Amino acid sequence: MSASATQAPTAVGSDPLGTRTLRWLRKRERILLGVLGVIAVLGFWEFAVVSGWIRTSTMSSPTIIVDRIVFELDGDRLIPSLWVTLRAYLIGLALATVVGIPLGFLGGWSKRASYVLEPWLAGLNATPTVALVPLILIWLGIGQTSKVFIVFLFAIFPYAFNTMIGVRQSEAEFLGMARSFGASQPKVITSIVLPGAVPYMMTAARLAVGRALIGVVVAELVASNTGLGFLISIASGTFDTPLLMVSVLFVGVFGLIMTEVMKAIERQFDKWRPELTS
Amino acid sequence: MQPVLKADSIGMEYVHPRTGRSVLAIEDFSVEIEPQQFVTIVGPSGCGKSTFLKIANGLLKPTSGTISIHGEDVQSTRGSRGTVFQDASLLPWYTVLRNAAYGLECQGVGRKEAEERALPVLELVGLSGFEHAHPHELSGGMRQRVNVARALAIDPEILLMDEPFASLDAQTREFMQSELLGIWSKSSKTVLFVTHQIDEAVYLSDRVLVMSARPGRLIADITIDIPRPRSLRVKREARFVELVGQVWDLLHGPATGDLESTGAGHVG
Repeated sequence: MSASATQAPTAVGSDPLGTRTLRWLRKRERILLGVLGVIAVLGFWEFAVVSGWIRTSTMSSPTIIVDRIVFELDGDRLIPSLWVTLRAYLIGLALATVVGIPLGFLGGWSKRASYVLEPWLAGLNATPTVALVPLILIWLGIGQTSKVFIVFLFAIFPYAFNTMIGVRQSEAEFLGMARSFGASQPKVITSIVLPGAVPYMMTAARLAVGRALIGVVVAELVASNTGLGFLISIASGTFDTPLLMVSVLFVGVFGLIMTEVMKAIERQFDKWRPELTS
Repeated sequence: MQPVLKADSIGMEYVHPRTGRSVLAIEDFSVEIEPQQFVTIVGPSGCGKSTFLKIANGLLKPTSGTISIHGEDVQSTRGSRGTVFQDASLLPWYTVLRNAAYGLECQGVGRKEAEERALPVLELVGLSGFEHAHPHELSGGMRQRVNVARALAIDPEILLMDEPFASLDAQTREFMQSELLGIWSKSSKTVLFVTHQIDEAVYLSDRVLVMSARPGRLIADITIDIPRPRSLRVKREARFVELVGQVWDLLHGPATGDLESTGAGHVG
């Protein structure tokens, strides 16, 4: 501590950038370094293609991809695909939320219910959900229904599992307090058990958002004739690397947006749990 | 005058579920508390004083003896006692006002009415202006005020307080002690207070009940004749020191050294 404190001024003093500029940079180093990193990789990629080290047909290039985005945004493939994917994704995710949370609540609240549920939850959770996709295709065929169901399946486990744990972890201290004031069972559930489980549900939602995205892409890759996943699959089949890159990019951006949305929702609860604001 | 709380030879025996060995936590404990009295139970850790409070609250059924509030069995009545817990036990997702109203809500009062009734109580405990804060924004002492307000808001026959200042630092604790006396005199409630701090017991109480180590038995019922209102300066007076010493002797056997040095000591 003392060593670095005495060293620092001389180091800064000898810096040609000057103390103030350095401080300005330090404050923003997170964003600056992040952006620099992306630019560096893209720049190297472009350079590698231009100088002929790697082939455009397999790797495409940043400029080709940008051109292609502009072209596809004008066409009638990318945007409709995006909507189809988004719809299946949101419906499946919503269903998983509405079914998963009550299911988890039941398992957390009632010992007997948990005895019934646990083998299923544990077993299905241990099975990679992707392995169930062919089965669902046999059941529901190719189309929007099976896609929604696959998303649902991918997203429901975090909800059910985490809610169950959250409900079980209800603070004994609060339960005892409510009991001593004569609270009814429904009152205990709505005022203590459910609010207490909210952080667990939020974690579940964050996991589910990512898993649902995997689900929708897998479903479209394997068995679909629409959507971003299908676009990836035909691009791959026709060696259309730029289209493949564009589709993947859109899936990625989509995932990023959903993650940010989840963070914004989580922030709503920071009023009473400031210790989890990371 | 009819006592508010009447405990008649309460006994509490625990049987260990695996070994089958039984432990006698409380033995033959009888007490009567008059209206508007401030009564404190002191005793070493594990003497069963908190257990007795739970019995008085109807949360535990004694294995022998009877206990009633205004002649009614505690097991069959609800809402006649308000508990102030050792940890503030405030719900972090509710505001201070909602927390203060929570006891009323538990008893079936609608949220709006409960909050309306809790508002003046928050003022009484000195938390005006903090109605919309959340518990994590409050200091330990302020949280305990909400804890007290929640119990007072249900307008109970008796206030049961389970070492409510145990987790506060020494200075805050002393301040809260004098604050509690102020609140108590304004609300004119009957109080049963449990602590292991002798000076806290003597300072607050009209009567100090001294319990022995396990099995918890009543070994003395000391009337504190220090006039009220009591400022914290009372703790420097000879009579106060003398009473603290008297309780100390009962718990530890006669002290061999100087009473002054043990005046504010802990037990166990």
